[in-house]
Amino acid sequence: MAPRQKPTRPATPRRAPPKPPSAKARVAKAKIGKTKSAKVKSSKVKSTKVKSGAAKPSRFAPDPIDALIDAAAAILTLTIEPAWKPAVRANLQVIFAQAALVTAFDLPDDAEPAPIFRA
Amino acid sequence: MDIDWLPASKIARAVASGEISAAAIVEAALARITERDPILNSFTAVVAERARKRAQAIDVAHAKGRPLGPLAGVPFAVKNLFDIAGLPTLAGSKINRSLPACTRDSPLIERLEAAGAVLVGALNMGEYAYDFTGENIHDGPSRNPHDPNRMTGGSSGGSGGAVAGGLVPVALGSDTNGSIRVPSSLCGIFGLKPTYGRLPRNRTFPFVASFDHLGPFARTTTDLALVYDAMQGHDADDAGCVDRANEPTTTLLDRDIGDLRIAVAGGYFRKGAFPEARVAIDRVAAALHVNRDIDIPEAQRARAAAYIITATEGASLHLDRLRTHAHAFDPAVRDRLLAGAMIPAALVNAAQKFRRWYRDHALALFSEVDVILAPATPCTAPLIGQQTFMLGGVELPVRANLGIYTQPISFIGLPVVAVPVALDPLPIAVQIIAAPWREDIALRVANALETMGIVTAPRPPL
Repeated sequence: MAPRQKPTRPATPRRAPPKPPSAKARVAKAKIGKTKSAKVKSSKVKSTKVKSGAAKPSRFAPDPIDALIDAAAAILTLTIEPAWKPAVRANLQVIFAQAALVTAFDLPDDAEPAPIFRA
Repeated sequence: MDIDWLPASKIARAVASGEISAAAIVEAALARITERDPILNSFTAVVAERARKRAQAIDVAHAKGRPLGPLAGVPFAVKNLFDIAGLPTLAGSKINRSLPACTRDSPLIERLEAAGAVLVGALNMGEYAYDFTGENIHDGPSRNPHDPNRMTGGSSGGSGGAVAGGLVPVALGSDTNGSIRVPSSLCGIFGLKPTYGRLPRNRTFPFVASFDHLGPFARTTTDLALVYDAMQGHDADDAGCVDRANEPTTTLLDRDIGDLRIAVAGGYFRKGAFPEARVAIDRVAAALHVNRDIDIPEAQRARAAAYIITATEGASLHLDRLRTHAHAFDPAVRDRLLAGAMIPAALVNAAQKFRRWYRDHALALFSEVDVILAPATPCTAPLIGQQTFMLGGVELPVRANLGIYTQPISFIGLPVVAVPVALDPLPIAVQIIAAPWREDIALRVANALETMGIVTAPRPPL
């Protein structure tokens, strides 16, 4: 039997070392913890960008975070009572603001996450 | 002998010499709990009969001339997320009250009792440890012995209050993002958060597997080291516990620290702090003749990544309870966990990738220094019920932000001793941070500062 070949990763060119935070990240940083005003600045977590030619959303369209809460609650079979929603929403805004700060930091494609499983 | 404020080391010595019985020590502790805990609200269960039996067994062993352990007769209590045989493990919740009673103690309780210590009860804590205040909606807030209108800090609030209030000389707590160091700071006592993976966490109620640590509180560095040494050792039932030889610290405490390279954390750790936090760090730095700042790179981003991982791992842990018992949670905890359940996995993975980058860069600093000093909290104890405070000119929630200086450190599992600076009217602590597995160095610096009189656990007017 032929020896089992060790899988190899495709040769991916390494990116430049991590760069200082961008202006975008600095904006997000300034908003960390502002429960009521924190906004998601990273395009990576914006999901409602309107494509050219697409129908303009209604001015009464639900906020993407409200839509996320409703969809995730349905998928996860969680009950979110109307009175709880503002606090859940505020917490999500804070977490997404923190996530914007993290994802604005440039890491190479071969960066490993901290917990590494060893068989 | 003033047994109400005796450190564990002196209790053990007095019991071993026959100067006082373990029974007398334990009865005095039980009496203090009866007298003071109606104010402090630090205990949720007192195991008086168990403690009396245990103390009696120690006295019998002494009468027969058997050797006693290094903690003989020392009363201690544990945050109520530790399993205690005969009790359900509450973890600060209402939901867990319906769990069956545990059949076995957690390993750290077993190890302390094997060293002669005597468990006297379980301590109040923030619900499911998702807290920096020490408040609990079900059991009421644990109260700060230096001013009962103020927070103990959390989530190990009862542990901080019980030790600072003189109810017990030592207690155990957990620290995921700062829950040992924050109460140590607000209550003015010593706390040790060991290296991630040093002490086994099995048979305790978890919160965030990536960051959960257990550790001791005490009123002296010697007590901290004694208790820590008695708890060291691998346990394969905790997947995160590293199989590493015990590295005793008690005998190293008095070693000279002149050879240690020490710096103060600058940048992020200098921003936002109230004047009292700056006074404390400056006082400690001056005593150690430290005139060098060092930048822990990307500390704010580290805190952000810790925030994401905490929210999502916590939500994963409690997902079923959120489905079935949502009304039984503290609403402040429930709503954070519900939000955490809705975070896309890609963001969590990004946080874990950043964690590795940050770890590598933070560890590189220890080629230049042996110890980094940083504030433990941005301020002294806020009032119970206080919702917000001003940090760096921005009004922020107290509950989530008391740990701004602790989170970037536990994020990568570095060992830390929190040492109390007895400012007037309220104490505040400084973090002594060392490289992984070098608890001995952090404890040596703490002991040197205590010997110089720079740090001390002030006795409250109770």
